[in-house]
Amino acid sequence: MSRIAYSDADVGGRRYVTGLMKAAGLQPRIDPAGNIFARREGTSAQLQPILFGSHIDSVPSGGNFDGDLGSLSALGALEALAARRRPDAPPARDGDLGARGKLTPSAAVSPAAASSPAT
Amino acid sequence: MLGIGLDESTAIVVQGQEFEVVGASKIAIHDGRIVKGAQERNGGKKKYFFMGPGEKYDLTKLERIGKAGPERAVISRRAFLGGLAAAAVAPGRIGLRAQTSVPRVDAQRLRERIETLSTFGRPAGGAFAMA
Repeated sequence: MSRIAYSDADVGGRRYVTGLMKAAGLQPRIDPAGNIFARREGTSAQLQPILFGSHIDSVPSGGNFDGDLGSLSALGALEALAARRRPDAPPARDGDLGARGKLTPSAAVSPAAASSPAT
Repeated sequence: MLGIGLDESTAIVVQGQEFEVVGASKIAIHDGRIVKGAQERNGGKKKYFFMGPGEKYDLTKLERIGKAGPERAVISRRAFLGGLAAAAVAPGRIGLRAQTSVPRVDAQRLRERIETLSTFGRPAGGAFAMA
């Protein structure tokens, strides 16, 4: 699998992942370098944030999991924490991971794609 | 602040307030403190240390707490992902009991997403294989 930064495959992968982020209720933003960020507010501003970082581009002939596993696991963790906040779920405890965390799956992208709204 | 850097084919398994390093390589810990054995870069402004497979860390005390047995120290990426898939199918059978009070990543959904993402950049005729 080759999802080289700036390639069409990279842009397609970024669109897929940002779509997942939006579906999870996040509002991804892209900085001028092409990094994708999203933040999930926690239940208490007194708790420390948790930052997840990984990548979704690849080296030539890279593996299926390098970077992708980290990025999508981070999104899964935020979704799991969000599900715990449902009205019928038990209240979060102090010190819960992700209580004021960030999700930053990141990958380089072409300047044109970076300047366009994620789809 | 606590920073945890994971090398390729390496993970941490968090249980309660502790985690254990598993995989083929190592992780880096940065907790803002000067610790024995820390690596220093940029004139000592960045301080971190490495932990290898089997080593454990206390997330509340921010310190190492010992090392697990060698039989659990190293697992391959394939074994890790195989366990992930098995957990999605039968979590109770492999010791990962479903606990309503503990948030857990949906392993089956994670697997499906990784497979979908792998289609971007996949060579013609290529296939996705977990194991």
